[in-house]
Amino acid sequence: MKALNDKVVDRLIVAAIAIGLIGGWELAARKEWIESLVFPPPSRIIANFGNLWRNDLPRNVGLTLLRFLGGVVVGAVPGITIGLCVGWSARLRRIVDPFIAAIHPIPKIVLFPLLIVIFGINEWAKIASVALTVFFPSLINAAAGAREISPLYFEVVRSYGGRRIDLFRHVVLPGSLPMILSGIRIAANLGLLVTVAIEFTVTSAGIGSIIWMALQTMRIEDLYGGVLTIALIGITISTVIQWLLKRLTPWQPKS
Amino acid sequence: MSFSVHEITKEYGAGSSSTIALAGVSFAARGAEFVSIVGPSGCGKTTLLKIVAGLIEPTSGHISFNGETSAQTKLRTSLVFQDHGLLPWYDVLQNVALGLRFQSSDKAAAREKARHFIVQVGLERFLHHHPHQLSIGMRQRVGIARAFVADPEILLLDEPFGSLDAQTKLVLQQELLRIWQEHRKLVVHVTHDIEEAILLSDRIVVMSGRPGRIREEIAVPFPRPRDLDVLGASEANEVRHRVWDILEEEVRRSLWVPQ
Repeated sequence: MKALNDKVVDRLIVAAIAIGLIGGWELAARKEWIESLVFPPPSRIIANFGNLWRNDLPRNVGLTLLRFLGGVVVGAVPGITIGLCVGWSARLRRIVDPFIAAIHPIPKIVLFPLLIVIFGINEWAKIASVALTVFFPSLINAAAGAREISPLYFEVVRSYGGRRIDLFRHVVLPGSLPMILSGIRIAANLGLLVTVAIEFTVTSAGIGSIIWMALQTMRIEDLYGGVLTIALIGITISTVIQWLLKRLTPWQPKS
Repeated sequence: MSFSVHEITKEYGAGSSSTIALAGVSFAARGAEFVSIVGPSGCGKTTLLKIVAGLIEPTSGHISFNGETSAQTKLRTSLVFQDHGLLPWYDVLQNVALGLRFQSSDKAAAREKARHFIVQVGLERFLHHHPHQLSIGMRQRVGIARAFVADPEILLLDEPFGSLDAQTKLVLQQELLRIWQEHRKLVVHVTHDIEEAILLSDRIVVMSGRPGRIREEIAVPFPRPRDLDVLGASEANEVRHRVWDILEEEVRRSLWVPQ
């Protein structure tokens, strides 16, 4: 009961700090203690968000999500598959590891110009760029997940007559799931970063380009609106992954 | 039904750094006999069990069942692991059904049979619990149910009660006897607990320290069904002393000879 009360109190403290910060900002901006051209009051940002929404924001969100999710799927599916195989087989690991060590440290965004040369300036170049970014953390985490599974579980399935495919299905895949999901969480954060960075540079649509255009035309509330939208997308992603972790890996001790 | 192990050796590594775990182990069992293998730790008894289970290849020697060697037919065994070996991502029902999973594709029948054995070990209220939600004793009950559900030709027990407290151990030993009484099959049981071997088995095979050899086979002369009272009988004392005489010698030897 006491622990429960502590939790409620802690939540109230968090809410109070949040309200205090936003309220303080509002007050400071209205009183012009801070430059409201740079830091407009939150109320104006929210009010402008409605305008932004009517002014085609949903289509831009859709485009950003398409690039982001497209890249995540195209990058994570092969990344996880290869990662599980690499984590499972020590031999494969010895062969693949040097390539990962060589390519992984390259920030994948620098390959974007090359991808434009390959694909042309179109959606494929953008999706490929996000996919490359997502591929490596997905692979590395899946491999670590598969490698850490106790050999005991492989013995159990083998002793009851399981073949290689059964080992994959009943041991490697479920045993790596927590690490796979935490890999996707890292990969998704990086993927969103790259999506927006690309939209800053070469596109006329998407949330990144809204932010960039707002800067060019000094419509500061639009700029904040874009940032707010990205923040909401980021929060949604991590909430979904948190939920998936709870649903798909109920055996994991709660952290 | 006849089962025999012929001159099994197992060597790990090669050349000067190799260790010999088993040095020519032979024994036989028939019918629904309950055989316990007792030996000092490190004598290779778990290795022997895993060779019978087909998890480890012996360096030489072979196993035969009803006149056929294990190379000719894949022996159907169920292994109960030391630390239960339940898959943490599966619930009780899924873990028990795993015993049948790779034998037949009839999932509904497998679940029904699994449910039956879960009831037998008294865990029907925990069908959808995961292993981490169960006590250690309950986990090993699930491990036992999984082994029986597979309806093996040979049931292999690898120190199944080694990690339990003394009271839980006594209860589970008797439960095992009860289920086995109902579903009789050949059992090869590995333990370092002499009392457990006397209570459960028809014959005790005593092994030497590393490299493992068979020192002696001792019959346990009690009728079945049995209960804990047999441990107080004078015949039990005789068996206890004979086993301990050999074991003490082996344990002392392994303490003085550097490994």
